[in-house]
Amino acid sequence: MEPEAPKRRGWDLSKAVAPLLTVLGISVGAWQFSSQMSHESTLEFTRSLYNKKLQAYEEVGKAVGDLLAVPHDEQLWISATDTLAFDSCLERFRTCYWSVLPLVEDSVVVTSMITFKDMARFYRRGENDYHDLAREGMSLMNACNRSLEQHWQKKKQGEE
Amino acid sequence: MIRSLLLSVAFAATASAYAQDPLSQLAGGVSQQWTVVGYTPSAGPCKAGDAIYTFQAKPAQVVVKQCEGGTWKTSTEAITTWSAGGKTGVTFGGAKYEVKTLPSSAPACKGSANCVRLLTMPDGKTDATRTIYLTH
Repeated sequence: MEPEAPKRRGWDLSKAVAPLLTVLGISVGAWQFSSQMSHESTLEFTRSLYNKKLQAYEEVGKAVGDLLAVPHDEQLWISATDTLAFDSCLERFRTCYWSVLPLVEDSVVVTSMITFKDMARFYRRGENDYHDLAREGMSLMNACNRSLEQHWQKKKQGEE
Repeated sequence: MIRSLLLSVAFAATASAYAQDPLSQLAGGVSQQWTVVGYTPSAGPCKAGDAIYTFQAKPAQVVVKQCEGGTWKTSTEAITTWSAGGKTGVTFGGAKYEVKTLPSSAPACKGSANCVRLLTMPDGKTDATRTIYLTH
């Protein structure tokens, strides 16, 4: 009769461990699922933010391009015949500036937008020439490009 | 290849030699007084916006006389020069200014032959920049 006692103890132990293991397995599975979902939603958010940024920068690029295309022969100083068209484009850039600026987190892009806005004003007043305006336009677009590159790098790091 | 490299270096050296240091441009060698465009000295109280800047090369400083409430307030600020991305300028009074010589035909110069524009650089905190037009 005595040898039966350890057998019962072993049976009891496995009976106690099995549900624990089941609970542990379910918990780990649930944690993995939720962390995967959270990672996916973070990636989705980053992706949508990238698209928004791209759209905003496209708008900025169009406004800059329109402004730079006003002087048809790229003459050094603004001519009286171009001022009306230039003012209209400048108005569009300012609208873009105020709609995009608050959304942009990149300080380099913000600084470049302010500098270009000032330069457009100075070109309009005959204080700076077309080369200065074109240079600031290019540096603004380069800043936008770098900002997108950095965002893309961050996104790629997040996916890895 | 080496010849074109040497030529580029020579061009760059010549260009930098001709590019005037913004402080010597403002101080005119030793010391020079500039007033804001549109300022006319008068016997009575000064007007809001009136300002006189006296730039000195050594020691590098500027004496700023600004009209506040009809009376002149004077302050002396140390100046440092900066250059970045093809731009040059001076820093004083906690602001970084880009210095540009303007033609007298520029409307802001109101026909003044010696006209410069001091433009504050964006500091990333505010979207507003400040422009000062000076003449002597």
